[in-house]
This record gives sequence, C-alpha cells and structure tokens, in this order.
Amino acid sequence: MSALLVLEDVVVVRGANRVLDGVSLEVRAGEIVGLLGPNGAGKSTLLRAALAITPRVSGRVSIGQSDPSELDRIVLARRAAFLPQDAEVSLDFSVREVVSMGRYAHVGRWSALSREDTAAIDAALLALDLVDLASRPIRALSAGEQKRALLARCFAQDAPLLVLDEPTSTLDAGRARSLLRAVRAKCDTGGALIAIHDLALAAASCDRIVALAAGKIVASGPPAMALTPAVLQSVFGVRGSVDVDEEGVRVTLRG
Amino acid sequence: MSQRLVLPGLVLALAVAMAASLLVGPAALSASDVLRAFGSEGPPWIRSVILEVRLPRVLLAALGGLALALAGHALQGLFRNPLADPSVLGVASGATLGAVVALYSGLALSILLVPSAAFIVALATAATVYRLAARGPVVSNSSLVLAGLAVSALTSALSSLVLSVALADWELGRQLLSWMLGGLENRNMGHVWILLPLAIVPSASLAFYARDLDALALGEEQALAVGVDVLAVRRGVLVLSSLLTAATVSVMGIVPFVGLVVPHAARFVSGPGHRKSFATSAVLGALLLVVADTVSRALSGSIDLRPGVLTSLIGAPFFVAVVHRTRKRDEAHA
Repeated sequence: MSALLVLEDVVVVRGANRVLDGVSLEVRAGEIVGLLGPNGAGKSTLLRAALAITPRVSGRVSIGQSDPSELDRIVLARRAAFLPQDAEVSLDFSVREVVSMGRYAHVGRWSALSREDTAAIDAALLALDLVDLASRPIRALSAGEQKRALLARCFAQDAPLLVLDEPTSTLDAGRARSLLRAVRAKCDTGGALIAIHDLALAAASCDRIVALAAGKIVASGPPAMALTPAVLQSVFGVRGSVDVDEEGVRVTLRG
Repeated sequence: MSQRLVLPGLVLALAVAMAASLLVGPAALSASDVLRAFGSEGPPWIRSVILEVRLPRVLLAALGGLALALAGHALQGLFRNPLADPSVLGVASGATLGAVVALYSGLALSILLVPSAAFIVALATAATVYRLAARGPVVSNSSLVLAGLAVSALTSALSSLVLSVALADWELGRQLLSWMLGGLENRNMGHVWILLPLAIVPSASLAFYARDLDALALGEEQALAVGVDVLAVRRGVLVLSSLLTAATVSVMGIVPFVGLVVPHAARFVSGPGHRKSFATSAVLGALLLVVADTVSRALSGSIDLRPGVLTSLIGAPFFVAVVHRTRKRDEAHA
C-alpha cells in the first residue's frame, strides 16, 4: 500500500522550544492512525506541520509524493482535507453552504456546482446524518452538530487523506463512535490521521496508534501493542491495560 | 419581497433617487429643465447648474457610497469582524492629513490638487501600516488592526495640529474644518473622473475574492484547508479596500457609517455569501449616500447638514436595529 502521508524527522520550533522534535510517521491508504498524547504534547502542531500550515525547520513531509509546502493550496486541498480543533464560524452560512465549500478544490472560481459536486455534498450530508439540518444556519446548531457539519465539509472535499484535530471532543460517547464509524466508511479507499483524547475510543476505532509526548513519538503500532501499561503510565499517568479479545479491543483503566 | 427581486428593486430605487436628486437644489428646476439640459438645450445657466453642479454631486455620492460600502464589506469578511470598517487601516485619517496639509500649503488654488495630495498620503499610510504589521511574509489580522490604530492616532494628531495652527487665519481654518467634516460641495466633473476608475476597478476586482471571503468565515485554517491562498487573498483585499477608501475620502472627506452599516444590511437581505451580498452592498451604499446628499442639499437653505452627519443619523439607529434583529434570530435558533 502506498503512503498517503509521510513525515520524516520533522522538527518544529516555537521560540526556544522544540515543539516537534524529530517526528516520523506514515499514514497508508485504508488505515486510520490515532494520534494520542497529553495536552501540549504537540499533536495539533504535528497535524499543522503535516499540512504546511505551520512551517518546519527541518525534516521531510510528503503528501502524495510531494512536499505540501511547495504545493498550490488547491492541489493540496484535493489530496488532504483538514478539520482544525477550534472552528468558529463568523457568518450565518447554512450547513449546506459550508459543506459545499469543500468543493472549492474541484470547482472553478466562477463556475457553478456540477452534478458530481452536488452528489459529493449530498453524500457528505448523508454520511454525517445532517440531511435534516442542511438548510439551518450552522451557527444556530450545537457545538457537536457544528463539528459534524465541518467534518462533512472535509468529506465533500473527497481527498484521499483526512487530517482531523480532536473531531470528537465536543461529542457524547454515542455520537463520537458513530462519527468515527463514518470516518471508517470514508477511509475505505483513503486514510486518516486523527488527534484524539479518548483512549478507549482511539483504541477501539484506530488501526494504529501513535503516542506523542513532549514533541517525540514514544510508542506506535496497533492499539494493543502501542498502548502497553508502561506507556499508559508514563505518557498519560494512568494505570491500565489494552487487550484484544474476540469482541474487539478492550481498554481497562484502574484508579 | 422575493430574494430575486431585491437587487433589481434596489437598482431601480437608486436610479430614481439619482434622478430625483438632480431636481433638488436652491434653484427650482423642473424635470423638463433637466431633460433639456441633458439634450444640450435650454438656457446655458440651467445646463450649467444641472451638468456642472448637480450631476457631479450625484455621481460622486453614488460612487463614494458604493466604494465605502464594498471596502467595509470586504474588510469585515477578511477580519471576520462585523465591526471592521474602512477606517481600521488608518487610510481615511491618512487621506485627511494629506488634504489638510495641502489646504494649509495653499494648494487649494487648483481644485484637484487637494484630492491628489490626500490620495498619495492615504496610500503612504496604508503602506506604512502594512509594513509595521508585517513579520516577514506573514501579516496577522491583529497586528494590522493595532498598526492601523497607532498610525491613525498619529495622523489624526498631525491633522489636529495643522488645524489648530491654521485657525489663526479664520478663513483658512474654516476651509480646513469644512473639509474635515466631509461633503460634496464645490465638486466638479474633474473629481468624478478621478473617483470613477478608482471606485469601479477595485470594486469589480473584489468580486474575484468573493468565495475566498466566504471560506474565511470558517477561519483561516479551514480556508487554507479548502484551497484558499489566504496570504494572497489578504494582500489583495487590503490593497483593493485601501484604494477604495483612499480614493473616496480624498474626494469627499470622511463619510462615516456607510462602510460599517451597509454591509450588515446587505448580508441581512441577501445572505452571507459574498458574491450576492457584495452586489447588494454596492447598490445600497450608493443609494444611502445619494439620499443623504440629496436631503442635505434640500435643506441647505436653512441648515448645513453634511451628508456624513446624515449617514450617521440614519446609520446609527439602523445599525442598532440590524444588530438587534440578528441577535433575536440567533436566539430563536439556539
């Protein structure tokens, strides 16, 4: 399987701090990679560096064989869709209007939406259960519904790589799971890199886990292998274990 | 009123207001006088009043209103802030300084030298603000607004200084004050020829950025993520709205509230999408200033009510109403 995203030895500096200190990872087609780590570990910075939103001082990044910092934004938008963590909308666009912005990379500045564009927008609304909310102003929705609408915008973009920063942070457990199921369905052919806080959710929904602490990768691999009791203790300060049984991945946390 | 009739309705209203405006003034002229003047008929003094006094005012009011409304609209979109207006970048107070210095230096002898000086100083101010705010190729919105505030404070202080020195000479002081209050008296077709390209070309160019400004409503990171070159958009929108503001203020002084209020009204009737609401803003801005100037002229025998005073008198309560209705709508949805 070819890699959709490759980071090699990426270093990002803010002031005197090495926010990312030599990070390497890969996201391949068909897999969901969960990026875990305590607050301030550098998860958001890693996602931004991967998309050339934050500049890196050294290392290599490639998305579909090219360095994103040298790609035209439109071309990059066809290869990777990004959902940032804080997303406050400043005007009263409807959910459908927001989702259709995901088609900018496919539609000329002066052109109307094609049938294909409309189909992609409809599919994204359907996948995230937003059909009934499509004509509502997005700012009138709850925080969780807004997140879903913005994720639908990413879906409509039809890029092979999804980069999502804490997409489930404002959702209840049920919504969080169904959102990740929608991402899974979308990643049938593509891949996703998701920063996530909830250990159990990450272990249950990701193919691989990358654990980040103080700008360095401290563990990576399938959930049960990456999240050893030692990693849980040292990175997250919790005692517990991650096991695989016939029902799937189970996370047990103690005290 | 149905959505599709809003813009044609406003264009019609603007045409009517501009035509009516030609009938208003100290000399009582009829509609047939106006028509004959346009057909190069009738007494020369009537032709002169219509074509050289009233027509330039009407055209300037329309162009200036359009330019200010669009500059404010684009800046509100760029800064993602409903309180942004054309004055945030310091361009307007820069233009005022240029005009005041030109008047003080006696350049008023040639009527077009004052707007030219104002325009040059306004553009120099904009460049200074941009320079101060820039760190390498990156310019953040907050540093732009701060630099704009600082430079505005400086240029306003300098204008006040020139004014207070000039007040030693009563006539000169009166001239300066009158310019600073803004207005369209004693403007001629020369002013129209200056403002016409500088209002129309940047306004039309702003349409290029309409969909980028739509995406900016989701924040700069998401705009980048859907393929918007945010830096290029910011540069383009800043240059175009600075040109619009500089040109307008250079010709008519500061006319407050048009660039702040009109975009809100336009979004209220045409929705948030910039392509549609830009068009509505342009027509509504022109309409507001033509009406304000007409009223100001109709009352000129009894009271000197500047168009800028009128736009504020109309604008302030309207602004409160728009904000109130928007908030009620938001609460209804919440």
